[in-house]
Amino acid sequence: MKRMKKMKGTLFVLPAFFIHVVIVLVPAAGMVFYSFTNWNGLKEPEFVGLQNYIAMLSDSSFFHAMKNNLVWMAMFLVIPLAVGLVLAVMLLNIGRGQMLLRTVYFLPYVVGAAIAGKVFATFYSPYSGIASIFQSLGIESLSNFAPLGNGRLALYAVAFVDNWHWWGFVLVLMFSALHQVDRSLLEAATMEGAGPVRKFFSVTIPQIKPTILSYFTFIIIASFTTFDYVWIMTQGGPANATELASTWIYRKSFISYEVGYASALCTTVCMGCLAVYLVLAAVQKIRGRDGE
Amino acid sequence: MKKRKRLKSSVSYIVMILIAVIHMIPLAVMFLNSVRSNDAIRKRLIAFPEEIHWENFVTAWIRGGYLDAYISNLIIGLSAASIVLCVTGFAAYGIVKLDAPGKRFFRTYFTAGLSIPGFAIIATLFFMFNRVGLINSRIGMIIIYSAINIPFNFMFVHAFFEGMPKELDEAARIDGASELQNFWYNVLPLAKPIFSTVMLIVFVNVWNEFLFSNTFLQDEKVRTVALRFYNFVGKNSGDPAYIYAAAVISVLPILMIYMLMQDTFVDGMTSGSVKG
Repeated sequence: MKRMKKMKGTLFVLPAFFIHVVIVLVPAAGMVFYSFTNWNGLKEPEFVGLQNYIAMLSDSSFFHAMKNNLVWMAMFLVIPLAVGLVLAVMLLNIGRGQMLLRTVYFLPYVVGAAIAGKVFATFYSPYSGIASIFQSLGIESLSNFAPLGNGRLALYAVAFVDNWHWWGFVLVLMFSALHQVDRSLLEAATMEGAGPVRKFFSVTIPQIKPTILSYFTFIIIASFTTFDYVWIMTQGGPANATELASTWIYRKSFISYEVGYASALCTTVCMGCLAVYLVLAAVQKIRGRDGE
Repeated sequence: MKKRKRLKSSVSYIVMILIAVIHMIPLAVMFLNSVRSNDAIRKRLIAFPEEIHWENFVTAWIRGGYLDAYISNLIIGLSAASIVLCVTGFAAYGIVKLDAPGKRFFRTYFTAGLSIPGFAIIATLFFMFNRVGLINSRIGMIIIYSAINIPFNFMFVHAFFEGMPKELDEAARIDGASELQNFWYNVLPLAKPIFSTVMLIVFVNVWNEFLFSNTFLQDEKVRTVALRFYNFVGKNSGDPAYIYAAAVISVLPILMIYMLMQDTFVDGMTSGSVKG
């Protein structure tokens, strides 16, 4: 009887499990499988062994894309965290207006990537965008301001939009972590005569370290799978200047129909992320044990 | 001493308000320009409207085919949200309340499922769906959105059920209630707030999602609001006023929900995501 009841429990879990397996796990396993074939999405795939992985090693576009991913990662490790954390500390120390300011800072996060991306692309447009402001101010050198058409600026112009959309979210994360900081330690530090900067680095940061470390882990992985803003604003252009691993894989899958090859690239990126995740989780675990 | 403190706090107020204002400039420009004329915008990007052109919204609504888009989005979003709510509610109930065998496995599975990126599945899934005729299909999108939203929302509901008192269930069982009855009369009323959060998260995720919808919905008739806007910008690049009006049409429902339920929003979207 009791066994029956327990089996009923499993029955409750199965619908969610089943949907997820069919739509996510099976295709993910399929990707690994197809990475060893020359599949184009339509014809029967032929097994080609490691050929795709070998071809990848001489794919300079892919490595160029990975370099952009690294630049992207560096920006997102630092900028949103710095802005979000400093403002979260400031926000914590004020009384009135705290919630209103939080609402405003978080607001861009609920705006979808397609909308934010395309609205900013319109701002960046040389015909009706920021360029017209420079024109009316008489700044000739910037009257053709069109960062998305400029290979050196495009990646930063796109990252700027994603940053605008994202840092309010980081602020809220840090804000709720800061709520758990032991206030008595801060007060003790104040009694000892520590200034706000000193308190920030010696008392606050060490206490919210776990949150910061998870943020780093998240960003390292997310930077290698980010796609929306770049695809929406530049599609990887001009001339591959903003190409990311994801946009390159997407192009290979859906524009040149080299699905087998794209699967090999994607498997490599995913395995890389998994490795990073496992290493960082292990490091965190060891440090956590030392801390006790 | 007190004076210094007050000075310091007013300085940080000024800094924070200044940042908030700068932060809102892009959206403010979007809203202001949505009622300005094309010529006025081309001449000067940032300005207050001299005369209000409400007709921009009518033009954008018709040109963008927003009626179809809204319908498509409502159908897909509400269906996916309901499915996610049901299956994650049941799953969490089975694991927490019924002590399902293999619960450790299921928990690990959903946690791991959280980290499979959309990229790892999209190509295989696309050609799989192509074979069974689920491309350009709202049903196809409902299935995909249900699946990819399961792990996060499962964790969310699971955490909530863990915190609920167990005595209630035992009382219900002694009274001879079936599991479904217990779920319906005991758990559901208590879990209402968390369930509305789940609905909200999924609906907003669907509204804003781009990668899957842009790949699987190529037929204009079924494309969602964000995708309609994406195409609209390409086709109307000479008419910035209509672009801004279309942007307002695309984002307004979400902004309104956010204003009305901001706590649900912020807690739902940030809890468990990157926390240590």
